[in-house]
Amino acid sequence: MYYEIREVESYTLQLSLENGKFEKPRLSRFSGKSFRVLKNGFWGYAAGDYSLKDGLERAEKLAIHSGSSVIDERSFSGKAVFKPEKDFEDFDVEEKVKLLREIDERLKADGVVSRRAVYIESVKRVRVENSSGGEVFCQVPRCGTIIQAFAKGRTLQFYAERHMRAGGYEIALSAVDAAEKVSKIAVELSNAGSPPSGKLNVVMNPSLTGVFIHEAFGHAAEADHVLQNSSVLKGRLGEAVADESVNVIDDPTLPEFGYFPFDDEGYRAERKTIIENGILKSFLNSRETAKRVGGVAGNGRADGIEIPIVRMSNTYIDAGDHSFEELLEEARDGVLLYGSRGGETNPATGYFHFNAQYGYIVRDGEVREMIRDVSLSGSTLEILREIKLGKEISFSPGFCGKAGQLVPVSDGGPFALVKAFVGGE
Amino acid sequence: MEVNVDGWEIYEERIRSRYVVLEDGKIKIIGEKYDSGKALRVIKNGRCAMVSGKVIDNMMMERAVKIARISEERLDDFPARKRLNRPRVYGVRLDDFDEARMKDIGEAMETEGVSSAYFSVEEIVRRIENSSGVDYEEKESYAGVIVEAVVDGGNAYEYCESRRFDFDPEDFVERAIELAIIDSRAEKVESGKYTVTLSPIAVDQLLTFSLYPAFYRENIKKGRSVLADLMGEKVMGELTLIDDPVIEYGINSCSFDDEGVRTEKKVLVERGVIKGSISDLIHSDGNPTGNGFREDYSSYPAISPTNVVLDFPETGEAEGVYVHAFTGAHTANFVSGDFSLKLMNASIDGKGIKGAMIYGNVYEFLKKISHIGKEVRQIGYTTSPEIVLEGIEIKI
Repeated sequence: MYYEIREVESYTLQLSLENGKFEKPRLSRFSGKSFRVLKNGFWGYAAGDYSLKDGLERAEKLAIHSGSSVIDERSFSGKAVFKPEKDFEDFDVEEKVKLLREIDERLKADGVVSRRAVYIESVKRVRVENSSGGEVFCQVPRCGTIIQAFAKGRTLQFYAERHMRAGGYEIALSAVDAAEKVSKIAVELSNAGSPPSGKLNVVMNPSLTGVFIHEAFGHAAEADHVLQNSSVLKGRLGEAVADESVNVIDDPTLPEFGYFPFDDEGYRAERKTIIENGILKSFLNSRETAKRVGGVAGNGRADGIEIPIVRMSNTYIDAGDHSFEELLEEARDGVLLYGSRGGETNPATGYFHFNAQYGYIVRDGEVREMIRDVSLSGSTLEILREIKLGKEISFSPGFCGKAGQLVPVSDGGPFALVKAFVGGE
Repeated sequence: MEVNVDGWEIYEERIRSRYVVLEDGKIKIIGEKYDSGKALRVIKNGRCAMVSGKVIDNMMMERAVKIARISEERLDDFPARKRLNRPRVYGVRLDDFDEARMKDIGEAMETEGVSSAYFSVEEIVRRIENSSGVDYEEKESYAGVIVEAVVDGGNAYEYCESRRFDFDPEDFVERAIELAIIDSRAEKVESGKYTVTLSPIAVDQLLTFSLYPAFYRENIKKGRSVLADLMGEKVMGELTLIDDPVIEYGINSCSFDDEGVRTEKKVLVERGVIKGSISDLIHSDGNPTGNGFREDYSSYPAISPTNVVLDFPETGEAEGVYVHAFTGAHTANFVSGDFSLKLMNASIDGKGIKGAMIYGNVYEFLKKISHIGKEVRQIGYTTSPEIVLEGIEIKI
């Protein structure tokens, strides 16, 4: 029998300024425990306010059946406390509201009808022990802002940016300068025209490239999807799945929003190469999928006291050797798209669909007029075979939802040229 | 309350659930969760703040008062006690679903082609107490199933949620597999204008992300809703939408919202004419509609519909392209109503359609309804039969 006990504590402070008004201040604390037992290849899982002894007993009772689950029982021990540059405990609420006021002032512009600035700080502490003798503890602070503007021109539009990472108050301080850009783009977007539609040359900005690699490719590389027969990558380890310039990496040790030193199964986090020079090298794994599919565990993550499942961390497509100008020149005629309003993907087929935040027409290799409400869809593996990559990567933070659980992640990449289906109204 | 405030409110949630998970056609996990938490809101000089946790100790109370002093969240008072409309919302007992029964239900769902499935039973007790005399408690229940199927490269999902155990999980397994088989043989059709039937799942996905937020008084007040200028105008054909929180066993039925406001039936659209909006306490200007809900105890109350009942004068059969679900519904722009959606498990005459998209604007779209089906199903926030629309542009 294998067992695992996890104790989670978290703290979140969220402050919002809506049109200059300090609204919905919220402070929350959470604590909980979860217990899981693997017995006769079947899992029992109990989450709640049990004593350590009662919780384990309850989980064992729930493991009533038999099955074929097996796991990598390797034990790790250690304590990892992420030290921020500026501890947000050292700044009082008044100061944080003042920072939001400065952002709000800078958001004001002709055409902007509504403004929103949000400050978030959180700390998550997790302790995991298991029957192999492992015991780990980690503490990760995260901090940042969300800045959003709504503008009315020919249509009503919005634009938002998130600046969030593992770390402290320094992250919020560095986000102030983004405000003018946010309102400028919202205003321009409210007067932008509709996009063309059809299969076009598309230059994606780093943020959209990041969303693409996370949503369209990353989920298919999660080994639980492979075990569920719902990954287009099943059975393709060692095969070329992308152009040889493509390298895709998941690295929880980077101090981005998806940072963690140990995962929620008490396994040490490490950098994973998913695609190397176009070849599919590995899937992302939990303790169970690592044992069943092959590979290294360390990507088992949970939202609160839910069951850990295979998740990404900081996932990126590494830089190539094209300059931005070269990509535009190569695209010649098409669109240049920025950011994402979210998307959806089907790991079973490799189909993806996202809406960009905004974009521009590219004509004769030059960036021309702005376009709004533009969507991008296509088949992931087809796109990866023909992708051309820019020289510098950057990361964008987000929350990734899977099986009803949200975890902080970041996605990264360079500017990239692809051929995909673009649509609008 | 031992702190010096002008008003206070304590919201408490206790959840007990048990579930069984299947993976690759086999039962894999039986789990349960007992969780509870509280949220305290205080009003100090007409200013409001909130703290939450497993327990609210003195330190948390002090932090609440400290933040309230500088908050600009204006609230004069919490709502007073009223006589409640009490719809039935408790229809399944968790104690009747012990691990042995969960195992049996899970085993009965074991079928080749099920990539993953989840069946759960949940009991929730919500309690709210405030300084204006409110002290309400309600016990509610859910049973639900989600099935994802993959067959020969085709895939599909089906789900069901109910206040009672009045469905057979195996039916949803069968339906998901059937849809996955159709999907595995899907072919492209010509782009063009089609008559389209949306399943209740597709209706809910479309309306939840592109339409409902436009009825939120917060969005109307903040210039984020096109409906602000359309009150009293006929802009949605012959469609009627009613937010009805007191339907017996409605999935989102309740007798009070998460701010202690009594819930009531509200007409949002009557035969195409925009009639109403929904609100939480903060954005209500003294006239809350009982639509302030918390995602969980630690979330700030926010506006949400309950059970939106859709109606239309003409009824009839499904026609043309049948759309089971959409992909990408949450990317819709609720401010403008524009959306671009991929059809998931769409079919025509029982044959699957591959890679089709619909682009449009929800307000234009709803004018094209020709009739609705007869069998009503509640999915998410929407209680609706199938709806049939004419002249919808499908792009491949």
